[in-house]
Amino acid sequence: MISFIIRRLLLLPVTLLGLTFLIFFFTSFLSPYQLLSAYVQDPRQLQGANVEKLIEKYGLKKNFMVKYGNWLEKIVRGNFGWSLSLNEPVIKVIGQRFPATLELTIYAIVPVIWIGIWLGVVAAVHHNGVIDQILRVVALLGYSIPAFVLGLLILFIFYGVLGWLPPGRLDQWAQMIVYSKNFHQYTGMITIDALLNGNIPVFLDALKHLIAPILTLSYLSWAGLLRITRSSMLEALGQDYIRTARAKGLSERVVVNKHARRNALIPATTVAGMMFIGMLGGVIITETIFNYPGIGSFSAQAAEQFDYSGVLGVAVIYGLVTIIGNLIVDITYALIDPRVRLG
Amino acid sequence: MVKDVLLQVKNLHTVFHTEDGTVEAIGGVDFEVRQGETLGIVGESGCGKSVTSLSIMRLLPKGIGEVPQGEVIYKGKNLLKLSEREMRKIRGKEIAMIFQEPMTALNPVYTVGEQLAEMVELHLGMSKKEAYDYAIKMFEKVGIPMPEKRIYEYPHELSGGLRQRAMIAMMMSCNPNLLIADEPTTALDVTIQAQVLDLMRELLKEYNSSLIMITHDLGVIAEMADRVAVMYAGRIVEYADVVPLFKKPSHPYTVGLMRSIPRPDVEVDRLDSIKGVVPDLFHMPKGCRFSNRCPYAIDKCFEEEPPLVEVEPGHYTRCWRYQEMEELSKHWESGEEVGKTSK
Amino acid sequence: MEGFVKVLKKLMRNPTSIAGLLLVLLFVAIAILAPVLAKPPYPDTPYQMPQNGWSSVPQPPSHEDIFGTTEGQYDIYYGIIWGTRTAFKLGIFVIGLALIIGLFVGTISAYFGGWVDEVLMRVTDIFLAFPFLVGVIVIVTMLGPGLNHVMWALVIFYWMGYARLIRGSVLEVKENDYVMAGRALGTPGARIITRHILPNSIYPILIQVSMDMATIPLTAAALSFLGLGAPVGYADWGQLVSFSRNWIISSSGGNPFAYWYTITYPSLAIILYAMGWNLLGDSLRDILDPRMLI
Repeated sequence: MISFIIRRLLLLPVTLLGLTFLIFFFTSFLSPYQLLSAYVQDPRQLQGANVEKLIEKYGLKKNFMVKYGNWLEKIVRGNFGWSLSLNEPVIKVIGQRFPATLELTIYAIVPVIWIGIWLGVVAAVHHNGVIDQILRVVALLGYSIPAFVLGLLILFIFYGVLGWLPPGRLDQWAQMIVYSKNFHQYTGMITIDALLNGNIPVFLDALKHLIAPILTLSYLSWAGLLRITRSSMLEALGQDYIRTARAKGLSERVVVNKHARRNALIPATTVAGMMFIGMLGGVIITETIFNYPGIGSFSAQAAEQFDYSGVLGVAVIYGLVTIIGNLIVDITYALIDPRVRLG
Repeated sequence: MVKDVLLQVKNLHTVFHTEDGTVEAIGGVDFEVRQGETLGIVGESGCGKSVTSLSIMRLLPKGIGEVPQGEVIYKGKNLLKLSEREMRKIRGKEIAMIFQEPMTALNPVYTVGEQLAEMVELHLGMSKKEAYDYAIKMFEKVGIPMPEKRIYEYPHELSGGLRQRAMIAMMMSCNPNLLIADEPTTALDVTIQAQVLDLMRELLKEYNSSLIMITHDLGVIAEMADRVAVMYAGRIVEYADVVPLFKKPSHPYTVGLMRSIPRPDVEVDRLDSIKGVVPDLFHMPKGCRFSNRCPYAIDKCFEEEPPLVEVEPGHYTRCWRYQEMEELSKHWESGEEVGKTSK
Repeated sequence: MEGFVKVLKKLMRNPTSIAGLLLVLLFVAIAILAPVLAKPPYPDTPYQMPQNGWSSVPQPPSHEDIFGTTEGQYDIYYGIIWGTRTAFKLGIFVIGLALIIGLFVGTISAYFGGWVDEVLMRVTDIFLAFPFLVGVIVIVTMLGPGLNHVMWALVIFYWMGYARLIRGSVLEVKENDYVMAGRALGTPGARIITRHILPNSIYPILIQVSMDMATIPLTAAALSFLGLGAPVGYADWGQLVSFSRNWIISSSGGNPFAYWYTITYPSLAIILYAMGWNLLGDSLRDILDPRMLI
């Protein structure tokens, strides 16, 4: 187990290096002038005669490795350049918006895992029965409705028609409170901060704004998790050890919930991790639809407005989070599966 | 001294509902097991011997396997008529079962101790602590070294022999009246095989339990069984005490099986084996099911299935030519000419 | 070939797979018959949606525009018909290329093993370290928007799944005695691949392709929705949906249902298209995945 984690940790810097290399490789399509914003953190530097000097300084007309080395050094120090779309340093934008995205994803993933696995087990136990068929169709519908269509439909019904769930992250009055001096932002996740500040109305308002994005973000994922859990559960139920468990006189409930489910959870864990990563991509659409100020809507905005440093910065953060997420999945996997634990 | 009959199987039929139609895997099987005795069921793979045991335990795959006809009388009760709840009290406690491949038959994600403990917790009403102590005792009994350590290990951490010992410990833990062992030694090395068989014999003697030993290996039968049922294509073709069976086999299939064992005392140029394979369930020969492979088959064999007749007291066979068998079996190799009527 | 007939027979036995098959065939027919179903006013640029006027307010379905028009007066019916072609074009191009790359990487990786395998798989991992959409957005930003760029971006971040799938199949086949024997006898690698490895992995690939025929156009549509895909006026489902955004949530207090057609028809086209492929893929999985046969 320990050696397994150490091996994974040793691989981490290699993957990170490869990741930044890959991201930066795509900037080869940009001119030095377009790329410059990724190196500076003060917009005044992007004007006048200074520009040529900076291009010279960072070697933007030189070979790729020089450019890459200089950029890598900057981002290691936390300088992600200047965002032309928001007129702020990229690192500051990420610092403000990442907690919002994290808050949204965490709220979305927890019910997904819970409901998805539960439904998958139910479907497998009723294999080819009515419940299984219904869940199958609902799950396939989930695959087939793209997030931007579903999001718009939710917005249409719950905001356009009913006026219940407004877009954005907070109502005007709540924003006034949150950005006032008396309100301490401990985590940047407003629901948590509101509770820590003892401000229930703000908490409820933040929650109200989260519902529609959560629904949009999670629908596709729980459908996927349902299908995976179902098939791994079916596979587990067909194994010899299930027959043994039945031969021991254990009740069907114990056979399913103890012996089969524990085994079925192994592949489901991997998929749940992939879901989480998929969700991080999914927030791009969801946040854009609901005007939710996270890094997802920022990346879409930055891409649309040719804010290269913004897109680069977000990509690095996404890669980082994904790699760490994968690491956590692998470790969880090893914890569940004793066969890996030793290796 | 005639011992009490513990289990009596009468006219057992098992069918499978497959995608390509319904097939009969077992067509009318009768046998009985007496208290403290061992019944061997022998036959090639696919002859229905495993299906028979699963039918007795009512562990056929749900919705696929079914017993439309027959009785399984255990201590005066027809198991096939019991409720699922009553049946669960029989499984593991009264009738236990050991499977061929201990690697797949043990659940990979639970320790072997836990898998034993949950069984005695259920049937003997022990607490977790008592159950684990009991597990150590059982492991000791089946000759697993360092049992107090082994119970916390996972199946993949044990050797094949130890795994099967753990399986035996588990299945004997509730002191069952009847043990069904389905090819318990097939997956093991030859040296280990003998040890495991010895262990089983000792335990059975100690507990005065009966055994149904399912195997394709006549050597195992010779060593373990008191009475033997030879199965072929879903039928019992010969049924007798072990000594008369080996002395005077009365069915050509039994003769063939015996001739395919190498014997140090008889010098033969090559090992005889039965030509061809078991016919698949969809294409059974019209008459005797062995007719297409039988060296002694006559016209009648292809047209009409022989009944199970009593050759000598307690010795039954299903062959039209059983009276000539002693003579015929001397000429196995040239058997195709012997007595075969030309067409 | 015999196998295909058997699979087809099984497909025809299940109502959901029949539905999937019919939906897919319907969209194939629409794509093929697009010039007949919606005659392009300018045959040189059939993918450019015709505009019936310049008003910024969508117009409800009428005799002329049977599904109505979007803002800017693009004919929704025309957009849906030719958008079907766009979807197939995207799917076939992206999946085709991703499959070729995947075949190349997966086969080499598994066939040679050792450090070649290690390096190729680590590279694959790095590509997988992005959420798909993020990777695609990075490339589209750097290349600039446009359908061609979107297609290449999708290919660059979509080959990994096929590479892993094929690598797995090759490893499995490599263990087979007859392949070992073939290698010992000096059978050329290409022949081993075409004779043994491809037939072995054809079904998992088929399932994957069917699912991806839904995923890829949906992702491209999402990019169009974000304004990163096809140029304005290009027949594309995602763009049609994005046109509707401002009208179905009109906060002006007007009737939100007034512009229902702007979202209903494009969404239906997308959902039915994806549903068809997903039903088909799912049925194939049920039939072909031996693990499901219990």
